[in-house]
Amino acid sequence: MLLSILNLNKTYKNGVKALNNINLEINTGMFGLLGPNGAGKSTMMRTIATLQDPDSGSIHLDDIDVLNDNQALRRVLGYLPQEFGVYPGVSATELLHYFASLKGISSKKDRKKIVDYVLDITNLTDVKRRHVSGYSGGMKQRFGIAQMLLNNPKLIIVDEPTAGLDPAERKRFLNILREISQGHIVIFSTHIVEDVSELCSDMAIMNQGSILLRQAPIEAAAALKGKIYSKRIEGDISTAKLEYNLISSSYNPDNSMNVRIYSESNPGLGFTIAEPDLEDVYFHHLNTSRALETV
Amino acid sequence: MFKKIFLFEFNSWFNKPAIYIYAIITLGLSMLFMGAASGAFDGSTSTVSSLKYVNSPNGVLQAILGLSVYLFLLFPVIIGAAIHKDFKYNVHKVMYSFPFDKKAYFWGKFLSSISISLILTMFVFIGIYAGTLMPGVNAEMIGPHHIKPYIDTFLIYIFPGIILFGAIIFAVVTYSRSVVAGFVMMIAIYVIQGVADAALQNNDYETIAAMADPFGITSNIQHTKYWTIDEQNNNAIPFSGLIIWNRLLWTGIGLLILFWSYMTFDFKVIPKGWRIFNRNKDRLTSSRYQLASIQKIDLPEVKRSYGFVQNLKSALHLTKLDLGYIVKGGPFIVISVLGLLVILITFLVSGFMFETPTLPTTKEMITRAGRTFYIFIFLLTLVYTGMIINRKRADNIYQLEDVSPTFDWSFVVSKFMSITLMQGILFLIPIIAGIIYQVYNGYYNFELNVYFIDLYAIRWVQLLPWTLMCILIYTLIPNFYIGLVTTLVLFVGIGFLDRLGIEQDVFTYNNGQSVSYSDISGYGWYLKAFYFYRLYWILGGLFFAALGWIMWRRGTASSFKDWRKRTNRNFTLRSGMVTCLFSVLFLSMGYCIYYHENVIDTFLSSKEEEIIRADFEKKFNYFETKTQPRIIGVKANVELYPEEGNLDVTGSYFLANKTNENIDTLMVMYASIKPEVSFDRKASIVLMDTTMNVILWAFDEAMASGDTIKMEWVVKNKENHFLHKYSPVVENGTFFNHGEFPSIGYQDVVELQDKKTREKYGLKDKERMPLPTDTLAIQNHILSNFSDWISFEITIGTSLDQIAMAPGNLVREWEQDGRKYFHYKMKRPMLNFYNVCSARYAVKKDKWKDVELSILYHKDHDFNLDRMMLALKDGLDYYTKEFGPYQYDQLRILEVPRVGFAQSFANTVPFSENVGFVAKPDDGKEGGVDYTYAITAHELAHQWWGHQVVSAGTQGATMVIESLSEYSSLKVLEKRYGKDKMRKFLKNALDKYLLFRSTERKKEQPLVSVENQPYIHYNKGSMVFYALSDYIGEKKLNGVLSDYIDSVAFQDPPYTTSLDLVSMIKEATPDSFLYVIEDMFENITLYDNRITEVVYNDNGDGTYTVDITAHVTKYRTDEKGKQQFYNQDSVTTTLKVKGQNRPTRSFPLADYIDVGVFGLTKDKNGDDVEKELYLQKHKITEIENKYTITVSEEPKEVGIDPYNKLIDRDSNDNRRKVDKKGKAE
Repeated sequence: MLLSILNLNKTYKNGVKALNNINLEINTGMFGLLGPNGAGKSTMMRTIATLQDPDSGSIHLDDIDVLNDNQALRRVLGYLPQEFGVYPGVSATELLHYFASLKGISSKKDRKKIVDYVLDITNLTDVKRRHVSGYSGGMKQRFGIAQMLLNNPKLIIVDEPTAGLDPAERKRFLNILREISQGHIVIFSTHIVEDVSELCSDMAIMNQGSILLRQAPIEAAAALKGKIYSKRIEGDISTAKLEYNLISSSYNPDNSMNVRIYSESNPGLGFTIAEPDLEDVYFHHLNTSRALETV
Repeated sequence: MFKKIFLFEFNSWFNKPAIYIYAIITLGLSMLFMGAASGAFDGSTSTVSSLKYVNSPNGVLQAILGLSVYLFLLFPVIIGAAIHKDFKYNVHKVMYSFPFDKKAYFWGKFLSSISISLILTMFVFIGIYAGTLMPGVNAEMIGPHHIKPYIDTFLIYIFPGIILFGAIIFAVVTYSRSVVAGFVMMIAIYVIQGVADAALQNNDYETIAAMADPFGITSNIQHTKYWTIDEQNNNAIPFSGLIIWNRLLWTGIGLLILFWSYMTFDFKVIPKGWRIFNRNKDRLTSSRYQLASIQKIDLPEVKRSYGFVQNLKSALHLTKLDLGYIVKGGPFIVISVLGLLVILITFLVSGFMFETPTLPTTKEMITRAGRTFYIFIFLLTLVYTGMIINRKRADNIYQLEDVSPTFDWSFVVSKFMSITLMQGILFLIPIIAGIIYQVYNGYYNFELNVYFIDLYAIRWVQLLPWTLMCILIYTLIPNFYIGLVTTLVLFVGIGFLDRLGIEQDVFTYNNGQSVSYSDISGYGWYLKAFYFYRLYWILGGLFFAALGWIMWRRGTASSFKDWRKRTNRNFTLRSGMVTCLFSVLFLSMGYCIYYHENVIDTFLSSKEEEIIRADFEKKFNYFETKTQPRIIGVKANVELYPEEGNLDVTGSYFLANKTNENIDTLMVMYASIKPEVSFDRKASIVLMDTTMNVILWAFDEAMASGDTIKMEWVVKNKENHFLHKYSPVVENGTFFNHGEFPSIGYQDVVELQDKKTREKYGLKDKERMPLPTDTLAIQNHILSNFSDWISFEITIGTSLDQIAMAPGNLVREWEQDGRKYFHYKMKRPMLNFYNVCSARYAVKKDKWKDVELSILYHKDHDFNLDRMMLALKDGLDYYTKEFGPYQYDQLRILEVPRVGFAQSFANTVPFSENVGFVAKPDDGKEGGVDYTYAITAHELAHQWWGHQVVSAGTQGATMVIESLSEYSSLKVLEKRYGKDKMRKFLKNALDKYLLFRSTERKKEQPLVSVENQPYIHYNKGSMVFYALSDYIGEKKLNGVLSDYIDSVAFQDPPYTTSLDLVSMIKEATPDSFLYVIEDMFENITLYDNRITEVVYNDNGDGTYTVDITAHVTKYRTDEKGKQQFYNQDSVTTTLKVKGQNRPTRSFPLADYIDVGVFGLTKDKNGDDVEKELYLQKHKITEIENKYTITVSEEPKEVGIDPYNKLIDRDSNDNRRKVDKKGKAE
């Protein structure tokens, strides 16, 4: 399976360029879309999910022309938006039956079979007769997965799904995603680097409507090998900021700081070479793009 | 802090376009409304004219309040939304945790939204004022401009109203978190207002009605209902009595609600709840959730389909969710229960005539419930369609729904089904209410089919086009509030179209052919046309809904550009074909209607009709004075075809030249069917005008004096088509009269009446009727200007199962060619005034002496036949004894459908199914007047007053015919039912007189010169003749009437006038009572009589002394109701009353008025009944009168004119109760 995005552009009324000539090919497996808030991730996801039209460009899933044949894509699509609500006063079973019907499952018996199954794997069976509007955040997110799975989707798009989940919920959620990515495409956007590093076989970093990097996470980290240095410093970091290509800094419990910098060669001065991780990749590319912009 | 919130909220309105849109709409509609009322659009439509100033103080008030009713429907948007937007955007969780001052938040929100509402309301005021300044307004209808009425309206009604409704809606939205609940509340308030309005029709509930109306308008109507034209034009907006109490009550309620919501307002995140079925409110969390573990996912294989059937199933699924949401919601349940109560109250307070209720037949239930309830369901349709279309976005579920492979049409269909089903559920409410009321009244003939057909097959179908239209509007306008306002404006605006000159139903959305149910004739012939129009508009609706489908909002269209792009893509071959199909069908049906209305028939706009009437007068008026021959005999063969609705008549008129001149030209006129005419002497048509329905014939050889000719004619309707029936024949219950047949000579009924309209077309003002002293006019009687007394013979053919009847005696009855024939012949000369009736009748027969009595009735309407027979017999007894013999040997009553009257022809009385056949009289003390009996006696009396004595066609004519019939029946009623019922009858007559004189369009006439004004000849006439019989005595008056009959019955021209009768009455009246005739017949005189003080003393010897103080004043009025307290040879009597600035005034008095003292006694059932202890006429010359009267039983009540024999604006203060201690109550 192959999702190919060609020259996708979108500019909003207020002048924001949410998609700036995006070209992307995504294969079977988990694909992470990493980027800060406002990078254009959601716009891209909604566009693929047929909720929104781009100004120009095309999207194909194998031989489905997504933008011109919405319905064909919708049949194989599973979509979990960043935020969603439900009709108040309706139970999970009722609502899932409704979605199952929308997704083309005609016989009542079939619907019951699949609804019971998705309730079971999302562990909502106990509360299936309760109103979804009364669910906690995690439960609602699980309900979101449940409805997403009803049509056994081939293309799954999840938009920042782990935000607001507790660690256990998050873990479980990622596991399910991983499980269903077998043989399918799962695109999932996040601004949390670990989500990608733990799961994704492939990823892209996006900012201000553009793709900054398109590489497998492991390769991306490998590319920085020998160029990341770290140092523990006391007091002011403003000098470090000025002199070095600072990637990140963090406090230690004793109020001292760790700084990581990008450097082609060893800067000395107490810096030691560090093993690059995905976070370094992420920050490095964001910094580079910002620097370019300032220039 | 308050200031900050207030200003923030207030200013935020001006950053959005909505407020400007609302303001423009408000201003525009107000101007249009007032402009139309002032005649600004007379150029494009019929002339608007009235004696009333549109901008009189109360006129301003009613216009502003009438329009504000629509504006108040915006309140949930303005006031509700102020609080709701914090919930909607979840700001409340943040806001409520700020260290906000509750006072600042609450009042800031409330007062800012109230201020916005006030600003919008100002546009109504401006619009109303500006409307009267529009070019082209009728200057005669614009009175002097004053600012005070506007200020009064604002202070008394609008401002308190805004506070009240603002408080209610603020509270409802705060507690329910739902703007819809606010809307439903507002609709509920309208419903309450509607009930108050209905209850006002019933005098028993007047006070409650005036108090119950939250808008206060009902209290104003109650207060001003007797205002004459003069008072309406000049009096200030009243603020007294019940109006004050109403305003205090509702402002108080408003403040209480406001205070209560302030006190209980809490920055709590969890709402108090409004849903009635609150199963699980608490938030759920599950603790049993296992920690992260890997799980195999293997979705079961299921079959998927994406075709038509599956999409339909999905639509049903969503319908279930949406309908459940509506129906289980608090607002819906509240409104349903309220609706049920409202209908029941409507049943209880309406449907009375003379205080006698109508039987709760199913037909009665649907007519009374349907009207109010229909508009109520309509409003809910507007609100809920918007609600469920916007719901996926409001609840933020659209991203899940919209990515499913379901077609857009599936969603559209489901929204339509939800609303339609909701209406279906609501239509059960009138059925339930109707059955409850029927059972409560012990009426068990439920006729469920009638209920269901009327509510579902008629009214439900009638709602469909609007439901479909709403789908488009809410698709086009994603903002629910603006969408709702748009639907309302559209609805109101369409109602305005005819005022702008767009009168054809084919151009007016969802208009066209309404139908109503009759027990006798069902929905009738026009049901076909009804459904044709419905189908037409439903196709129109489908076309609009299909556009809605193409433009259906799916996903996150962030800009108009995106939306247009999506729409372009949705406009596929398939959707294009469907839309085209609907539009082609819609347009072709529309063209078909247009073609039939405008090409096959001629559609006349009201303006064109005016022009034709004016032209007719200009063109043919010279014929008015031309001598014409007169009918002396009529012979007709009438073929009725009830199934096909066809009429085929061959008739002959025998015409005689009764003048001394030769007649060479004959003018034939007709009402609707053009007759084929021929003569037994050579004649040719010189002019034929088929728009004015005139044919002029010239005789080759003129008719000499005394000549008679035979005019033969055929009246056959042209072929009926699906929109129109061109004959008065109906399937069951045909009733028409001589008016369908040709008439001879110039008929002035076609002329324009109104002064202003005549002026516009260059015609001189004309009296409605000629003076009784007009020697030319008295040559004709009131019922015809081309005949005197005629011979009459008629044969009627009809369906085999029907009985057909017309005046005359049955000569023969036979069957031929599968049809039934009846031949009637009148034994003696009668007026050229006859009817033809045919229906599947049941017959009840009886006899009075040698007179055969029969009632032909619809088989289910047998409730009051005995009462009718009794009235006939009692009437015949009384009239033959008092006035003179009955001229026929038969009398037949025929029940006819729909029309709301009975009409007396020679020995034949068509009598509507609605006025007596289904009455439910109660002969007990509490019961009202048995109007079945009274109307029957009245129609019988016409056999004397009308068919023996017929007055000239001049002013006062209907006094002779109608007032005397009313008087005669009253006497019969009094003999049978006693004084108590009499008093009820007279009170009702007084109320009707006072009520309808305030709607006079030309001028109020004194009784003796009444110009066919029902409120004068019936209501005032019955009172005046009854009072007269009281003054000079029944025997004496009847003696006069008997003499009058002797001198004028069956006379040839010149005909008698009211002046003859009045002068005969004067002769019989003692001098001391001559003033009664001057006051009551020759002038318009009103009294204001009341007891001001009463004290009584127990003398200990079984006698009681009562001291009474009574005030008596009277005044005369001019034709517009302006009061006069003197005439040229008298001076005003005055009385200085303590505490009053101006002295009380009266026309000079030398009047005899009843003074009465009443006690209590037991009747034969042991119930308390009133007993007259003292009743005497006293001569009164002063305003203040003191009487000391000794009676021999304990007095309970005293009165001046206690039986309301005189015309008195306030008939309730004529009596006063006396309490036990001897002090006045």
